[in-house]
Amino acid sequence: MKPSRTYKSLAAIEEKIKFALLLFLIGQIFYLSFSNMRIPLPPVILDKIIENIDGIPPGFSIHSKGSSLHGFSELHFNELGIYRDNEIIVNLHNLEIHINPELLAGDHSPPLLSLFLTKGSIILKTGTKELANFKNIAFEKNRGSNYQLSADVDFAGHEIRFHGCFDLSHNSAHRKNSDEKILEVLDQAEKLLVELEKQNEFIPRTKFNAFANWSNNSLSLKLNQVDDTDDHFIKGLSLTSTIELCDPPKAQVVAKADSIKLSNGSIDSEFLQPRINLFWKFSPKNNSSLPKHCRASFKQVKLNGIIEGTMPSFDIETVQDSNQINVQVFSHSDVAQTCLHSIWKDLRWKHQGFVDIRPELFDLKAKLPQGTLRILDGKKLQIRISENHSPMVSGGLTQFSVLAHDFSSLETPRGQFRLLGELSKDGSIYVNDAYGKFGRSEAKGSYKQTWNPAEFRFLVKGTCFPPDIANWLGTWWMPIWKEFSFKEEAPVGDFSITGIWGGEPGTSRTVGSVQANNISYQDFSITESEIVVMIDEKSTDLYADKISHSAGQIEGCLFFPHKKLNSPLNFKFRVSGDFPFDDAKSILGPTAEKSLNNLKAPLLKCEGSGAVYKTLPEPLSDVNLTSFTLGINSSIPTTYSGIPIQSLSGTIERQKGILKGFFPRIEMAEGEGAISFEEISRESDLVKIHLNMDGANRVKLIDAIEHAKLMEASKDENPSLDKTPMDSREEENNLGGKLNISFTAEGPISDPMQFVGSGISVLTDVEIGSINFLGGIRSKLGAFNLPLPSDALSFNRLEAPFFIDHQFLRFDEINLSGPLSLLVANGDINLETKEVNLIADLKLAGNLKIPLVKQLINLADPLPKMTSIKIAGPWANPAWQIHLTPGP
Amino acid sequence: MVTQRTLTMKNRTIILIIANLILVAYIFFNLQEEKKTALNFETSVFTTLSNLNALEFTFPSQNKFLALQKNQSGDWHLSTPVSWPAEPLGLSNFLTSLSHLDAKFLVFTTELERRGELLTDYGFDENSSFFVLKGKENNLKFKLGKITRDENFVYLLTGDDNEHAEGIIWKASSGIIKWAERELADWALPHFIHFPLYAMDEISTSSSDESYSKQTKLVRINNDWTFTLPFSAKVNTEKINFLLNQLISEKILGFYSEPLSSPLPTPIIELTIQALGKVQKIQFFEQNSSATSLLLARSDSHELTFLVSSDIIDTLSDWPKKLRERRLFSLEPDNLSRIKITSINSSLSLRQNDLKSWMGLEDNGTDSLSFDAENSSIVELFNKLNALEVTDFMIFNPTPSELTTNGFSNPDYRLEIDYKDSTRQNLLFSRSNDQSSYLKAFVSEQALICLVNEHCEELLNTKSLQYRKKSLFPLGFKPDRIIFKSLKKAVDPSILAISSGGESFERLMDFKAKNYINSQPNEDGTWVDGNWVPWCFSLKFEKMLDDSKQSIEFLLSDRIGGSTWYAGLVDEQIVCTLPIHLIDELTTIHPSPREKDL
Repeated sequence: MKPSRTYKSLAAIEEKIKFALLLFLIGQIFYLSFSNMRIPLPPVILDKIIENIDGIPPGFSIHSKGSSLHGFSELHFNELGIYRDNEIIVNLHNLEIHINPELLAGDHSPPLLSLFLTKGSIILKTGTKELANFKNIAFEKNRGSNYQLSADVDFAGHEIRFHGCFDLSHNSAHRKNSDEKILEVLDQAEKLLVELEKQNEFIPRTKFNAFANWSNNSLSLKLNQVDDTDDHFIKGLSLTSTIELCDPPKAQVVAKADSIKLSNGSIDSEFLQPRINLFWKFSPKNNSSLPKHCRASFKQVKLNGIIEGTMPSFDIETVQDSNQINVQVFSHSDVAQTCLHSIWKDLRWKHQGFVDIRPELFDLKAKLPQGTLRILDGKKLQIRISENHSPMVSGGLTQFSVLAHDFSSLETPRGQFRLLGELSKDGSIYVNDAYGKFGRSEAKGSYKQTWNPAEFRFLVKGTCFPPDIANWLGTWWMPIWKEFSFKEEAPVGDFSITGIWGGEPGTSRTVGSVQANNISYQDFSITESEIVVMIDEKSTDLYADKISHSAGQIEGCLFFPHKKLNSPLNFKFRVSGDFPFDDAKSILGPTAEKSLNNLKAPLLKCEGSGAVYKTLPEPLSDVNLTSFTLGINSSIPTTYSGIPIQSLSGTIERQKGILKGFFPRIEMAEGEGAISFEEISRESDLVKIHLNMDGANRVKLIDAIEHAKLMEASKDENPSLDKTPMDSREEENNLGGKLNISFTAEGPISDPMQFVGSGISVLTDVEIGSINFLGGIRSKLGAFNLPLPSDALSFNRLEAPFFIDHQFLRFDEINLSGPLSLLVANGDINLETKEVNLIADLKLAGNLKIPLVKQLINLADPLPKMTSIKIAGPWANPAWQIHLTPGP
Repeated sequence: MVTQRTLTMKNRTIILIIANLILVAYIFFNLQEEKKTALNFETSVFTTLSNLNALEFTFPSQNKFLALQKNQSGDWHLSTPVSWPAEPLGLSNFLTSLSHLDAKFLVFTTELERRGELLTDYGFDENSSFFVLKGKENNLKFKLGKITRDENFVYLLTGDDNEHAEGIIWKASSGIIKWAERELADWALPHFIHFPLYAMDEISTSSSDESYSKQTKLVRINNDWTFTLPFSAKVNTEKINFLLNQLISEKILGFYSEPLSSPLPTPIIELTIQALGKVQKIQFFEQNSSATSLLLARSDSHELTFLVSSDIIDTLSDWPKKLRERRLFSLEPDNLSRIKITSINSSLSLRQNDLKSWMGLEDNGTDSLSFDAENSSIVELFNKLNALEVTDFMIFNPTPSELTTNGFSNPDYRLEIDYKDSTRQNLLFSRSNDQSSYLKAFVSEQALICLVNEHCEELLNTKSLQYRKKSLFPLGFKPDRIIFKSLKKAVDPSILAISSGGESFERLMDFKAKNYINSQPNEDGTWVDGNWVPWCFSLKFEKMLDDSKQSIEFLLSDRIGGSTWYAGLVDEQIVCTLPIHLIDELTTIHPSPREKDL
């Protein structure tokens, strides 16, 4: 070959090589440029392409916005929505799909290489609310048909970090059937998620790690909790679940936790080591999201709040089939052995089962106004529940019985109890037959409880020692009985108690009666009584038509206003009958008792009423002062301030803080009279007293006054005052003498020596000269050896008007008169020192010839000049001296 | 010229080649980089987890090896050292933790020498624990090394033979350590009966001692359980469910992985359960050492011996007494035709007619009295009988001499219940000789003698008073006016007339007795339990609207307590208490004059 031809052929080959290299270079440049190129895709074209994709279940569609092609195999979507029945259910943002470029080479491997998503959300079918949000999703091909997933999901506020692997190899024939299963599962899953989301409202955010695995039409999902600080509601949660798209589809969930804490505001509950196992079998006929089988168990439940303590472990098992649901609760422990079985069938619940409790091992306590009390205690508590074949109450579908031995509830005394009752469809409880014997009580009764509101009625009859049931009834019960004390025989009670649990204060009503023998109310001993009790939102009323005591019978009532009224009134009372005053006056209240402190009477017939108010720092008005009116009638001797009183009849009343007494009939010291007293003001202890006494035995009256409490102070100050021996008094008494006395005085009751007033006393019916009066007038005058006939020293009337001037009795003119003479005196008596200071003039009556006197003095008027007598000294035996006055 | 052109052409070719090489290298290294970023621990884990078949845990320092395997139905079980179902949650927890290890690449083992480091620096030696995850297509093995200084991380060494000839050291979360510290029992399912409660169809126990063997068998038919051995009798459903739940909740307390040193003795008791078409037999043996309260157990479902608490013997014992239905009656009024109570000298018979009304006949041996019975009282009797339970079973299938010994030859009470389907239930009651609070009962249909609580005796009352018709109006009497009058003339002579049509009238029209009192009334009052109860009010029902004027006047006491109000009808010589709804109504009509008192 010629060199030129050789050259030409070699040059042609070189040209071809260069051309090939150039093409290859252009190709690589094209590859590199195109792989970074972004070509927007019109939505219409994309939608058409998507429509033709095999595998989208019926009813579903996909629409996108801002879609573009990057390079050869990347699809980008700004926004992509998955719709079901034209409603959006999944919304995706910034979706990046990498398609396997080897598809172009005819490769049969799965088309998807990877999928990345910035964020997205699942939306409820029936609304716009987002059920779950997810972000940072990476779905990448691993090996063969295996893909791995990582995603961050926010479901109902909980953060779940997902990892998973998915085997997408499947045959198309099988896949067709799977579509229907997928739809079913999706429907059920959505229902379940919606339910979970609803329950989630009060559960704080929790973080989970999850691992999902999809292969052979089966999805398994495992979940671990990763944040469980001490205050978290759930700790140590782990869950494993499986969904199988077989025919019919099935799902199973097994989960456990270390603890779950729940709170409803009044009780905090901590469920320890809960474990749950759920199994579903889905079918088109069964629209329910309830699992076919569920088993849950809890090791223990700790409670804190208004109820505190622990409850024993229990298991719950539910089984559902096409026409009924069975729910069973079991407990196996030393504390309780329980099987409660409820069946939902034919549109109603049927309950049966048993509960056997050892209450002494049951450590639950209730925090009540009356204290923190053990809810149960004792040896045995048995509860039986069964279908009610013979209902006494309409709709009473379930019968229950309770038997308790040596049992106590809320720390009442232990005893035996028996209850038989029914539950109706709406949960109302009817205890038709209740019997209890505990403490000193034994009673039968019935109980009814309805709901919304929680109204109850308790009918009980039997012997009832009120403190036995105090803990059941709350703080309002015991104050009624606080002042009562019961001896051996418990009262017989018959009560109806209605109310609303947790209702407004005052919604309960109690009507009943107590027959009690040998009881005491404060210091008042009662031998027999029947007390009617009525309690409502206004007041507590106690009525007693007949209360028998050792001295007679009395009737009355007490009225206590309800605490919620915040009334200044303590109580009102009415009383009528034989009142053992000394023993029972404390029931009138402290103010009345104090007012009547000076009155001592074993028995009074009284009739009265009053209102006792609470002692406030400043009384609100005149109306809020304790007031009472008591009519008193006594024929049994009494004393007032130490003064013996044979009988009295009158009224004591206190109105607007002023105490008044008016006794129009009073018998004292064999005399009759009237006495009245009245406090002058409520700020001071000033009283006004009026006494009018006629025909009193002189000795007894004086003795009584002398020894009255009023005089005790002065007695204490002057212990040397003469205390006339009893023999002399007797002798004096035999001499007779009637004393009429009348006075009105005012002064402080605390200091009788400060009284002022006036009065008059008249002494008659006695030879005054002979009595021990001013030391014995006859003997004192006789000592002067006056030339007077003996009758001149005989006096039979003493009339002495007086003024009361603090400790003095002042006399302007005492007239001591006799048949022949008249002794006129003036002066005063010191009640404190018991001393007299009188100047007396002796006058003779008529034309009595006194020869010696005539000789000694001017007969015109001889006596005044020579017969002024000074009487001074202790009133029992003063000194008499002639007191000469200057002549005219 | 040619040379220059040739040179130019050669230059272009060289340039093209160089450019191509540069681009090829660029593209190649880009891909390599992508491949390198795919190198992560999770990929290996996920790949293996996606088709995991088996797990192995080796702890050389403790000489311990544990293996779990998945069977064909997808359930996991322990295979070494014992064969036992695995606890699903524990395993799930482990796999989830593994998938979230967040292991970060540290170094290839081949680079250690260059860095002057050794494997032992990272805690890897022959005593290091290692986990092996075995999938269908690949395995993943990793060793646990040291914990980092801050104790938050641990070093892992992997050597995935499929892809890397060299090992890789990773730094992962230290939470993986806890899985190495788990005991065998933590991986095992804690229960030895694996049937669900609702699936059990038959259960039996058998035990034998020196003299006899005892077998008890219960069978479920539909939802009801029945004894078939040693007798045929109904089982209390809740009691059997309780027992079954106890059994499935029983936990194993340990395994005997080594062969037993001596053959097992005769089992104390054998339990057989049939469920889901399968049968499981479990035998329980006492241990040779009496110092332990644990029993040995063997189940035919598992090839090993395990330990359980001796409390299970109590659970498996005495089923005839524990499980037998204790309710004596399930009486429905509509299904009954007659009930007769007979005591020594008297009897009371209550019979239902076709109109569902009840008639009574009281016979005291000399006289008999027939009366219309009150339906509600009958229903109450049945309600209370239904609640009666056997307190204790005494004798099954008693002999005639046993019946005589227990007083049934001359019983204190007989109770005959006739059903509409012509069946009859017969019970005899005899008071206990030892003065305890129980009655003995002989149930002839079940052939057993048992004890029942003494308050049963209250129900066997042959007095007719409590069953008499409670309505106090004569038949056909329909009043149209009610007059309520106080008889306390001096105090409160009020008269209240209530006309028909109002709510109060309607409520009072249901005027009936709660209980009759065995007492005679006169015009002033009546005696009740030795106490004189005076009449305080009159309640007169009048029929005024037609020519035949009729009236019926009841005399009423005052309300006594909360729930008692007596009424008397002098003409009929009746004294009764009134039900609470009438008491409430009368209180509304005549409230207590409390306001006037104070």
